[in-house]
Amino acid sequence: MKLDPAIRDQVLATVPSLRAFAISLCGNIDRADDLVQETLLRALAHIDSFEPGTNMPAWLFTILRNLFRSEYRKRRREVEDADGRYAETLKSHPEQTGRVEFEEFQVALAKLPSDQREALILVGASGFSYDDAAAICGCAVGTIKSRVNRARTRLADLLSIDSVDDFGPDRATRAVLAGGGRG
Amino acid sequence: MGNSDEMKSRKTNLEALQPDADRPEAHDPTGKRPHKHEIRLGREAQVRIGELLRTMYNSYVNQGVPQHLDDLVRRIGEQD
Repeated sequence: MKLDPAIRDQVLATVPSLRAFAISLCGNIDRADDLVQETLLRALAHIDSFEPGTNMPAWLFTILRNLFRSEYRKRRREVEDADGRYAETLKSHPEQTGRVEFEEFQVALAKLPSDQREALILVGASGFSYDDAAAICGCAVGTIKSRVNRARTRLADLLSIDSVDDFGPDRATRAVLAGGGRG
Repeated sequence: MGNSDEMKSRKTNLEALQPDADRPEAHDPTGKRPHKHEIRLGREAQVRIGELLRTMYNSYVNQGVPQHLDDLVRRIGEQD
């Protein structure tokens, strides 16, 4: 049975954000593309289980997230990226954001526990509601809220920021003068 | 959840969910900083983190659909 073109177009329309989620989770573009490909293969093989009119992005994100978690259990040390390889593999430096600041952010994001990172990305970047994010992650809404809050707090701690004044071109200089940051 | 529609209508769910003005420590008359584990971020810091997160994410989204994934979906979609 051929795939309904409308469904196919919905799948294709979701791929850019699905891939962005995968890259943000994996920290490796090649692995992320493999993960997206595996997600699409699995989704299209079980397309009958998708109810037209329901949330296609949430359905695909759930499949990808579950595949990632399966892989994560096998490759935990790599994914945690304690040595910073995550950011090294991400060669994206949007022009509107300072390069150093952006790299610092990527390194900090990579240091988050994966459950906090995925919650933060789903809610703060992918645009899912807390309810949808909870459904994707298979947990309670309150758990997602807690993870997002802890992720933000941890990021601020890693980036040594209390306010927006702590961002900007002088931040690195101030960090050096302060002897490497706050205690 | 009664506020799910409100959250869906936001550009992001990060900025306004917990405005620091609503937090007890924002009104602490002693001016003491809360313990590190109890720190609640100020709104500006939350906004900046949200901006950086979306900038990173959108830089990947803007790369579009890689050709091999587009081909994959279309090829499978044509199979009987």
